[in-house]
Amino acid sequence: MTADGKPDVNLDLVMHPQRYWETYDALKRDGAIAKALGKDRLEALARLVRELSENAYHHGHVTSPGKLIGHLSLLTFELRLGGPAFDSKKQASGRNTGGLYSSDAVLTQAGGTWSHRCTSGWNVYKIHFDGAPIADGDADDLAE
Amino acid sequence: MTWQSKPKIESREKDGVIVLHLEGDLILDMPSEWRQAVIDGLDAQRENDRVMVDLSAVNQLGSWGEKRIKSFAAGVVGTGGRVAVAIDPHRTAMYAGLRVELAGIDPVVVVANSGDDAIATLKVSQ
Repeated sequence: MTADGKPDVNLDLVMHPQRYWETYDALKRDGAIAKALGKDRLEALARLVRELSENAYHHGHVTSPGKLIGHLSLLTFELRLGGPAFDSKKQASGRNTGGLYSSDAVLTQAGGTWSHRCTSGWNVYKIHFDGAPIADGDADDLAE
Repeated sequence: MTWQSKPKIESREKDGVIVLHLEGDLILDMPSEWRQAVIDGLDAQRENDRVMVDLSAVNQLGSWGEKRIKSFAAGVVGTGGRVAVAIDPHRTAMYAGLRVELAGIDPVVVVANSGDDAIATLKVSQ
């Protein structure tokens, strides 16, 4: 997070077919996020955000744009997708034809966990990675 | 959507192995005829007993593409064949989901960092 406690990642997501691929690309090209996470955690995060957004669009009833908020020093992120898309993590996973299964596995391999809750018309997904941000100068682990 | 890259699938034989070369996007959100062309191209090679799937030139690999590759590999392996996959060694993270999908296939589908390495694994297992 920033010195004044505000999130240092604050991205608006547009829910439209194919646009979540732009979000995926944007996340993977974000220098600050890449530097904090390293390539494996970055891929896991970008992939899960993409799959959840894709799921919400195709299988849910998303009514408003989404948002990704992150605190890089804590390796914690919050994805918000508007509308009554899903009401549980199980339901979110169960509606997918498989993408969330592998994305969940990729996240776990990268030391991450995620949870889901519904609140005030938003689907809120918390994504957290164990460990610490990549240290300065650890160039070998930067994003591809 | 100009950023989309139309998938292309080609096959040839090398050292007794069918090389299936794919490029472009392998994702859900592309025209249905593009997706069908990928499905048809893979289906046309299911009868072969040694197949190297070269994904090193794929632009975007989504869960849809991963499922198609898994289904193809499982089909070939299920009839006694062998499959190996070649990826771009500079984009290994992009294939993390594919590795998860392929891990469920027995015998194992090798994921190699070059086409030659992938073919070599198929020749060793002869």
